Amino acid sequence: MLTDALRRTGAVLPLAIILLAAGAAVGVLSGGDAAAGLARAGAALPVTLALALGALSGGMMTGTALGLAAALHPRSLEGAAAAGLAGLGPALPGFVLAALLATTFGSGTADAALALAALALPVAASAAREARGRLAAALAGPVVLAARGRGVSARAALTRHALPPVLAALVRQTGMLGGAVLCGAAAAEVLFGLPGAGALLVQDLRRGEAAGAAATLATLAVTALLIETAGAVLADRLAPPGRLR
Amino acid sequence: MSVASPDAPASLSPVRVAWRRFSSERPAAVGLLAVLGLLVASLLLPDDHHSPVVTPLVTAPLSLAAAFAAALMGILVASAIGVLAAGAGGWFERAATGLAGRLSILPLPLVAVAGAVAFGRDLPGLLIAIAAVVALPAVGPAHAVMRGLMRRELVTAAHAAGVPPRRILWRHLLPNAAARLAVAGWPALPRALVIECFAGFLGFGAVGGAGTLGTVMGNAAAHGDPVMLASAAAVLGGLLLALHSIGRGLLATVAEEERP
Repeated sequence: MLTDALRRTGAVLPLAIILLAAGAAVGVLSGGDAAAGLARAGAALPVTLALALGALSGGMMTGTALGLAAALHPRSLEGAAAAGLAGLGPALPGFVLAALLATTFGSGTADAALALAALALPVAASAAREARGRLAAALAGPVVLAARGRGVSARAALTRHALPPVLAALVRQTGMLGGAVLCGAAAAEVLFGLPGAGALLVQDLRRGEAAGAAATLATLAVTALLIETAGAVLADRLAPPGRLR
Repeated sequence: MSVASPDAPASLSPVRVAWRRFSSERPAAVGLLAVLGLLVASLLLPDDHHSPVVTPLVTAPLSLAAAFAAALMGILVASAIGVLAAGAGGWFERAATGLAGRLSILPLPLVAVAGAVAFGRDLPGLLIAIAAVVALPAVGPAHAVMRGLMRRELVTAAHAAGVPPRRILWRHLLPNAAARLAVAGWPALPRALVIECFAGFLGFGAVGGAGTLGTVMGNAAAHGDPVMLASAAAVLGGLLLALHSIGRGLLATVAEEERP
């Protein structure tokens, strides 16, 4: 796993360095303090990262559970819920949900939880759609058929042969949603008044502070790259040998 | 000219065959009707800036038009890169598709907003910024379309017959690829709509000072107007669903279609 992680991180490292250097260069050219901008963005990043990772993991677990249940029991209540969630997924941008929750429930103590819920729902919709489709295809595919033909029980065929590649693909897919979730997180931070890097970027853009905005945007871009890399490493770990590599 | 497909009788024109395939996808037909209905409603409704029902319906076509312009530019750029990459092959193909794939996982709406601000927060700047970011995820599908076409028998036969590469490109590849490239790039339209609304929502939209769906939502959120916000969100959600459904219908339209 460590080798995979190092290989994948090494693959994105040049782009990450270029992005950070571009952010710093814009800062220098605009007459600002690039180092200070990067430091400010780094200090605000934990809030954004907590929101994004919480939404990605929570949304993926919820959506995957619903999607798998829907694939196994298509006519059940959870099957209908997953189908509804998956169908509505494209109509649910995170920033719109965050705005709806912020306007409906107002500012209060549960701001972070509301922001998390708003960001997790689109992830859950995507995961439910993918999980349902992929598991249904895997259960009808040749690997499960061959396993059942060799006398493997239905439960073992599901857990040992069908689920691992499906989960690996889902984790990989969820990692690729990192950029979209970070955008939603920026809107949610603005709406709920959370002190994250997204809110910092919007604030700098409104004030016309190019140095700070470029540094924060570069930091968020590198964060999205690293989230995608983490998803790919985890997917490599979950995927059975010889498949999805 | 007939269309080589089992479900396409020789007596039907390609346009009628395409419409038949498109309308066989019922959600796509419903989506198209919904978008057309929205456009007609926006023309007939009075420009009432305080009605939570009318305002989103009147402003949605502005957002849609801006998204359409940006998506069109993005699809053209992505198609050009895809065609060049597939044609050039080698390191350029790997570099172009690999870089576009890597960059498309970045927080593109934020990049577009920052780009629009850098361009001066006017309409052309916003559209160019959106076009640039929606082009990135469209490069891969455009490249795949061209790669797939280059492996077809008609291209191999043309090569074997000694037809010059330039003529193969103009006579065989591009006519066959045009519709497929447009369909492959279709997801750029809902993506551009979301980004346009995102920019407007955060206060960076710039459609000649006129309100768009994003600015309506942004103002509603800023003034704590949940009814207006929910209404605008419902219109945006409906538009996105309709556009995704139309995309699936278009996919069915170009399936197995080929110009010999």
